[in-house]
Amino acid sequence: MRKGKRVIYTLLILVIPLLISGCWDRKELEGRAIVTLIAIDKGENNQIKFSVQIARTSDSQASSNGGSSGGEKSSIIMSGTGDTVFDAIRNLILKAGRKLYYPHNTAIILGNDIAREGILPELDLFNRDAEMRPLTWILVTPGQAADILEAQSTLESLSAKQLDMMLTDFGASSKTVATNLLDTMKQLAYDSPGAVLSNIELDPSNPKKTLLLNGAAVFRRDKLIGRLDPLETRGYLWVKDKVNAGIITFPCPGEETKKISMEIKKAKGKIEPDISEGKFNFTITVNVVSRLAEQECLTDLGNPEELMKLKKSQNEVIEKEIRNIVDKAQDKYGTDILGFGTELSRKFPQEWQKIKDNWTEEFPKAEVNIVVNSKISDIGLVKKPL
Amino acid sequence: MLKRLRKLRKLKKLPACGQPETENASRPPSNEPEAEMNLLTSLLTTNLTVLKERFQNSVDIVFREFKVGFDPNKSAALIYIDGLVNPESINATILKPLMFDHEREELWKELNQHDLLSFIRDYAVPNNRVQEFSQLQDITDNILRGNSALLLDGFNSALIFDSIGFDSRVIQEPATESVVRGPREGFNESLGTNLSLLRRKIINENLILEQLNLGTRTRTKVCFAYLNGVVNEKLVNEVRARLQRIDVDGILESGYIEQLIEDAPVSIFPTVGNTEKPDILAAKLLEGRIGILVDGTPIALTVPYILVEALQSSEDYYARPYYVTIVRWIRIASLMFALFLPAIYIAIQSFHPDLIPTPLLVSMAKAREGIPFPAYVEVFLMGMIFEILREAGIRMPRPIGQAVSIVGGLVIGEAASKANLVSDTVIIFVALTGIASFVIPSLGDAIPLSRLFLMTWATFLGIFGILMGSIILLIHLVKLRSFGVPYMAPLAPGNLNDLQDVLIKAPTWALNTRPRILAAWNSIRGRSSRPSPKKK
Amino acid sequence: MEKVKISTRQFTCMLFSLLLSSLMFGLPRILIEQSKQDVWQVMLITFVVDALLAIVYFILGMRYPQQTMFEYSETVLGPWLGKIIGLLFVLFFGYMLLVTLKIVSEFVFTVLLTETPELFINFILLLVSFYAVNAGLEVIARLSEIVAPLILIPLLIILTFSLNRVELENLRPIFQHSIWQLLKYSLLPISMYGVCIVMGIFMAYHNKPKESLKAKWIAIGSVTVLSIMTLISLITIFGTSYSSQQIYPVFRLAQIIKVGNFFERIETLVIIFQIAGAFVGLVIFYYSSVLGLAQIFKIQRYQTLTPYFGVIMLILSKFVFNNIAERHQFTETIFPYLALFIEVFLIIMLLIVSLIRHGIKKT
Repeated sequence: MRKGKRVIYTLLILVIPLLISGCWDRKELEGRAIVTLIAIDKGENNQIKFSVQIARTSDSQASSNGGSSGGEKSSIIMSGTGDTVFDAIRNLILKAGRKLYYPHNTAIILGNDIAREGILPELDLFNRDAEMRPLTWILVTPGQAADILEAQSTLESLSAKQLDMMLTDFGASSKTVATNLLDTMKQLAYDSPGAVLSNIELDPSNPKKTLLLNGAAVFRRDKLIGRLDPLETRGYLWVKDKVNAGIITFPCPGEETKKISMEIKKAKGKIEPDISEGKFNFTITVNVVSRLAEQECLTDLGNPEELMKLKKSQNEVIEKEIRNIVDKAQDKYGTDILGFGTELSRKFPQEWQKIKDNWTEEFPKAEVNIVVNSKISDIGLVKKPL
Repeated sequence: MLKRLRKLRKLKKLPACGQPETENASRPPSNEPEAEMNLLTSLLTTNLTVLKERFQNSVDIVFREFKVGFDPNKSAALIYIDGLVNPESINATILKPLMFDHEREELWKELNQHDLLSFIRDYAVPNNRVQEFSQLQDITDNILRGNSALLLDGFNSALIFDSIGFDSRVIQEPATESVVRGPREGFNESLGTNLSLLRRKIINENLILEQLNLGTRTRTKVCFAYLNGVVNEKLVNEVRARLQRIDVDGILESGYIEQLIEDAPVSIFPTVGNTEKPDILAAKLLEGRIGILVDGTPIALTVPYILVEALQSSEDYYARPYYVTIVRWIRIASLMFALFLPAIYIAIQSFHPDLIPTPLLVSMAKAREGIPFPAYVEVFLMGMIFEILREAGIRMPRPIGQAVSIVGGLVIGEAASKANLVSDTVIIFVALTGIASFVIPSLGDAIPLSRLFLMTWATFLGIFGILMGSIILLIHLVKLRSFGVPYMAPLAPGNLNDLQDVLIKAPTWALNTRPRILAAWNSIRGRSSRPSPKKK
Repeated sequence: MEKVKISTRQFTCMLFSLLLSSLMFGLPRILIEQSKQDVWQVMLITFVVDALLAIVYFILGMRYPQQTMFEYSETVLGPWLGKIIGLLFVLFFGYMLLVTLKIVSEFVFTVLLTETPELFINFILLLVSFYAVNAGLEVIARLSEIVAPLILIPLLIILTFSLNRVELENLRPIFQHSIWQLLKYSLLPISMYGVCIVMGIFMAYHNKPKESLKAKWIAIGSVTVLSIMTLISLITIFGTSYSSQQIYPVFRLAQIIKVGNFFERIETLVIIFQIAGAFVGLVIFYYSSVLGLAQIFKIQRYQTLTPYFGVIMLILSKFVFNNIAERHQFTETIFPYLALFIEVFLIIMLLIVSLIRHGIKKT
């Protein structure tokens, strides 16, 4: 008898809470709108304009962005405004009806105006909320970020998916950077007060709006101060040891008008800080392994002497790329985007504590040496051109 | 607890099952008031009247009255039940020698004895088993079991001859527990046959078979078997005591006994195992378990039963160990699938769509569009349809069963998703769950109910709910015991040695011990070492 | 006294899940914020100190076999003073129960179920642990025996699959703190490790009390190794600044796992097992508190107290610490001293009094 009662009590205790709980958090899939891209712009009256691209899951007739070839469009774009990002997000629900669902968001695109004023205030929410993921890409665009959402995808059905693949494979050319939320926060958290984020534009050569990753955007602390073109970006990547692959082109040793393409197989970059007599010296060492991928000229390059020449030219090209970015960082922007300060703080923690506060003044004065060593591993299947 | 154990130790052993056709022991106390009415008299006619009264003129009782051949003045009667006996054996071994045997007639005269009954028993009847009873109840019982009783005029006791001969199913391969490699024979409905099958597996005088008759009305023969020297004595006493405590009017199948001796009758998890094959029963006995066989059913019970047994199959031990280890893990995975898949589907669908990759989520969301029910209704609905189809498939005659599965599988599944009643994803999940639960047939009760339990938690609290639900199940499981053995052994309490027959299947030469949890005091099975070619 | 026995393995598993889960939520942030790249030294100091403290618990347990800490504090100090000390222990366990409850429900509330009231989550947690507590120590021990690998394996999975993002450069500079600073910073982890005073209860039920010390050393050793591994991968992957910004850095670590294009988004699955570990901690504190109360007030079955204690805890959970910031501040500033008073001072005092009153030879 007592046992029977106990069973009943147990069942009651187990069932009642479930019944009273009333499923606060339950939200069916069709009640959610899957956000795939976010764009943040400056709206009117100093407000935030928050736009989202939503993956299309229903058959309803809605306008806006389209898929590749006519017929059904694969995404919908909506935007709302508000005083803060979160305010704008909540105002957006007034228009959407469904609950916007962010964990599948691929990228956050920041408009030019908002980036110039500082991105930390906008990124705080994405860093704080558990729904937002640290692997979300962060991109900056020279114009309105909402326009990027309108871009048409070419090979993928969703432009977000395409953007994701473009950024994942950024290393194939090493002419742009791919930064996710985590990288961005880490760059901002380091002792060097600068950051470099990827730059996205609408391809000007294509009348249909398509995406193009073009160089990078430079930040002093969290404020946008300028842009890097693709080659300058590669200069930056050499220093940061982020070059995986890519093509280096330079004139043929014999014929100046014809060009040679070298394919980067492997690259290693390193910054060595040093302090001598109160002056800061930095040595950037880059080791490259490359192969001869293409030659336009008809010279026979398949012998050691010629390859030595190629190696020399390649070293010069890389050194020039790096020198460009170092000069630009030191003179034009006056911001330590290359992470010299971080290296200094790791190697000389005590000195760094003294210099930390006026590093912005010290950085442009630092002396930078560049050492490039390269190795040509192979020349492909052809010994010499016809 | 200790007191009870001490009491148990004093219990006497029950009679052996070696003489399963006789009836003189552990008979339920008779309810008849007049004790003298229970004894035979020396007048044959009176005895016959009394017996006829006792059987209340049932049509299948035969009273064959005759005169004894070598003493023609003596009238005698043979009583048996038509259909339970083998008429040829009665004719040849009882009637013929009694009525025609002239050699015996000479011997009878030569001896010049007066005790005809003893003479018949000792010299005249070449029957394989003869017993003498004077209690009416004993005689009745033996007649009911298929023996025949010989009453002689002038004697107040009867001779009981073995004459059992009824039809039973031949030994076949059982429909459940089928194997690719291993013995094909299975138990049938006759206890005698089953015991002989077991005896043939373990040729050892330490294989003890004890017998009880259970069921106040059916008086079913129940036999429990164990290997002396391997089994834990306390366990035997416990099983014996629990069996003796049973008081019901009828035992028609071993399932009755299972439910009457369980440790945790309200638990959905079985604490008594069952098998239909003698080789499996023999293996369990060798591990130190006790088997319970019941007359009239091919299903034998084994105790104690722990959860990991559900993941083992007899073939694991016959095949080489490598693939078996993979199969063990497939079973574990199936168990997990069968328990968690629908719950996880509900949790993902309604609480955490962040768990799955974006393309999959988009296609799932597309499939969900236009479906009027929330995910849990969808899953419950499909789950129910699946169970209905399964039940129909079992109960239907086999040719129709196929039709049902076609209608169910193809038509309902296809049409339901076309009609936007359920999404395609749900059909995949439910089908996978169903198939996975067939992998572990012995948890047939527990899996669907636990799944339902977890689904309910998932519906209200998502993945956190699943966690809480599984912790409740886990607490319940580690709390359970089967005849004193922790149900989750050897996982908790853990025993690395026993785990080599759970998480992996160690080769036979490495499995040199019995499960510690069953036979800690005598766990060495053998001392065979890793085989290797002889070194010269 | 319950007639239960737990094995050495179960003893280890209980301490392991209790400690690991209480370290994994929230603590890495504070540790990295304080001692930066030198955090592994802090953990090593903690390990050594706690391994030494374990000897004190062990000696006490061996001197009074079959007695829990509540019982032997009465044997040592006499009924009245002993009861007061016992009550202090109960208060400590009760407080740890509350904190663990808060930690889990806050985490669930922030990450998994944002709309569900926290009180309700607390209710569910207490209800399920009530079931476990009433089932007795044997069941708790077996439960943790199953849960311990379930915490360990997902943690190892995170640590392994996040290796591709490791930047070893982040480990520099090392040795930036003096030994005194490190000692100061290790007060908090020592006080967290100190929850192992539950050993004083388990030892009474251990089937081989002599192995208790070994079991405890294995438990804290493996926890130390795992937490150093976790802290180092946090520093190498996130850097010190980012890690000390995040309230749940381990959750973040699970979020960034991406192997191939399919093995990703596993954070919820990983973290759910950490919650399972914290649940074991919850059950152990719950059990210790009610067992203590029952033994102090000489109540035959502690089970009669469990529901009332649970209800009190549920009500308290509503009022203690309005938000996570308050709790963190308390944990960082006041908690270590309170905890060390109980875990270190009281226990050592018990040992000294015991040595004086019952002589050194009594073992």
